[in-house]
Amino acid sequence: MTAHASPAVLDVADLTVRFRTPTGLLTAVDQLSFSVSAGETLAIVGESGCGKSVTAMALLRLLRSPPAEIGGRHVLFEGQDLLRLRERALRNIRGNRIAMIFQDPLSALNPVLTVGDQIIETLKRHTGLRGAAAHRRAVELLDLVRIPEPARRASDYPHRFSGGMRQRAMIAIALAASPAVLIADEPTTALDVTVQAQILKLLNSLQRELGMALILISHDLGVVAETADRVLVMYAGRKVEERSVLDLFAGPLHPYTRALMRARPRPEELREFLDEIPGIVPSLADLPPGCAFAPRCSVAYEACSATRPALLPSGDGGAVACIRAPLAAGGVVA
Amino acid sequence: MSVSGVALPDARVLRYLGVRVLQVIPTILAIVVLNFFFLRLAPGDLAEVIAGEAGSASPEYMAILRQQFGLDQSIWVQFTKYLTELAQLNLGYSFRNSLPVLDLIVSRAPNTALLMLSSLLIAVVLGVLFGAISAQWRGKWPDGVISALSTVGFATPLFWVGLMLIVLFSVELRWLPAGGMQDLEHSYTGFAHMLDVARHMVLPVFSLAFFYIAIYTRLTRSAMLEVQELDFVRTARAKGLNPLPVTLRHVLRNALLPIVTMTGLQLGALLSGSVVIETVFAWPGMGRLAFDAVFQRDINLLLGVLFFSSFLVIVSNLVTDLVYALLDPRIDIR
Ligand SMILES: Nc1ncnc2c1ncn2[C@@H]1O[C@H](COP(=O)(O)OP(=O)(O)OP(=O)(O)O)[C@@H](O)[C@H]1O
Ligand code: SF4
Ligand SMILES: [Mg+2]
Repeated sequence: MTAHASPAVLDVADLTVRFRTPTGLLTAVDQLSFSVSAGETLAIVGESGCGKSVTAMALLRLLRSPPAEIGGRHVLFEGQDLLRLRERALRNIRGNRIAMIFQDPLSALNPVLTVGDQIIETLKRHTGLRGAAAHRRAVELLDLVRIPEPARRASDYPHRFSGGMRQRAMIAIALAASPAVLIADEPTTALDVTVQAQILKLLNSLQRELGMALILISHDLGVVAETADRVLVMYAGRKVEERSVLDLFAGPLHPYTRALMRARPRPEELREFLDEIPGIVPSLADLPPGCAFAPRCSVAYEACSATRPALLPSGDGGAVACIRAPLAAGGVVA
Repeated sequence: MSVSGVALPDARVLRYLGVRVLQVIPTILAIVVLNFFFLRLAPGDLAEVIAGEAGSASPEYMAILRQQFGLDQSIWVQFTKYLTELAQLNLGYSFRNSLPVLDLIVSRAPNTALLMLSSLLIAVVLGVLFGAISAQWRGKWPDGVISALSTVGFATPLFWVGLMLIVLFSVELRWLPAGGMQDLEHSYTGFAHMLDVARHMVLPVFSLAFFYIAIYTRLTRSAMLEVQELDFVRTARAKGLNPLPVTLRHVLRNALLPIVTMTGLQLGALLSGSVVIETVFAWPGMGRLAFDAVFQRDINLLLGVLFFSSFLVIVSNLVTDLVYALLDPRIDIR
């Protein structure tokens, strides 16, 4: 059904994450399915709190449990189901075959270890490199992510790096063991605009060079448009639309996706775009019955709140979950 | 500077120290003034005590004593004289002990240092160990046991711990000596002497350490729990590191910073704690010296001990700052 030809390197089926909180059980990720193949970039977008980071962390089971409970059909990677893999075996995959970078490079690096040591740590854990060879490789990696004077910067502590440089260092750590999948959770959100563009360019070219699959989590549809091959739109822990980037920007099908696009800032204004969708994000602890977007949807009608809209093929290799989406099968154009 | 580890002291460190020493001078002056005038507020003086012991408190005899001790002059004359001598590092003369104050202090200070430093070492090592175990097994039984014990450690007065240890280990079990620093019946030399002192140290050191073990346990536990939630620990786990390296290199390494600060702040309290312990265990240290000086109204000696102690505390605070700066690369030493 998906448009990409090469087989999936990571295949996620019905991933579900619940948190056991004092006020009850809340479902942060609800039966989420997607896959990525080598060399492909899948973007996951959605408002704050929709479950993007939880999804990313759940793939490698990095969430502390309790309170998190991770379930689902499978997370298949290189013939193994990460959901059922023993913790010890999973640690051999983390940072090695699947690597992650995070939103805030300021706090994501250990302040009391040099940047070089933090790269070497991954090398030692997952490659045979030791001592001087590991050090040389760390310098090479810093060079790979275009850090000037890499040999000197390797012995610097993170606080001597600018935000953009730190994110480059994080990327170097992530690439240390040549992963097959890189998960980037809002890698540019904490950076200023010009640096954002540089980091994205870097990620893109590295991905092409190394043939990695990239899962790019983002707030910013602008970032997505420039970087992604495919886009997964999440709302309240659920996938509401998944399309190729061209199809999505040519004709978004889900009212929520359309609202996101309308709310996009013009390039010259640097406002947070998401606040502009009217209404508030519903509490995950008590979602409305039926479509979770119904309370904020401008085209909702009674049937929307009756049953949860199924995710249906959109005819172009994508899928959408809205009973009013204009599908080939004959939806209603809103 | 090496890739791993800490920077070595260099010219910058020395300059930093120089500035800090200059900053300390007003503090020392204030301490000197306060000590001098506060001690004069206590009723009675050396002449009265000595005359009382001699059994002939005739006004003539007391006048002769006062003249001899310089107590007949006005307080301002005494103060000026004291300051002038202090400026030449002359701490005065203990008429009571017929020895220069400095000699007395120098003969006793190493004993106190031995007591304090051993206690501190034990407290830090055990406290950090217990705290780390507690944090690692948070909410499980090891945490429960350790937390309960540390509450007891907090609530128990020092002297009571000392007395109970004496009752148990010296009086009942007869394993360890109840007081003093060495066996008075034998005069051991060499290794036998060290062993003898070590046997005498056990009870006072543990009594003094008791409370501080509790402090370091709690501090380590809370610091580690706090650090565990930080982003760079998530990065470390995402690298696939095993739990022990995550705990030691990332969590504990950063949790040590507040522990160092705490040690600096606690040194003064530790010194006063050792006065209590030296008294209970008849340990021939500075605390004991000060204690006796109070009862004998040996103001010169008391002033000397107080001055020396303040000096020690200030020096150790400097050392603490330096250690902190060496451990935390974010502190720029200028
Ligand atoms: N440890 C936790 N306990 C309880 N709820 C949690 C926990 N972690 C996350 N959540 C909930 O899961 C939901 C999804 O959070 P997540 O961090 O994935 O959002 P996000 O899409 O990444 O948002 P943002 O754009 O702000 O990063 C949130 O509503 C959050 O409250
Ligand atoms: S199902 Fe109904 S409420 Fe939900 S997005 Fe579609 S139209 Fe709006
Ligand atoms: Mg997030």
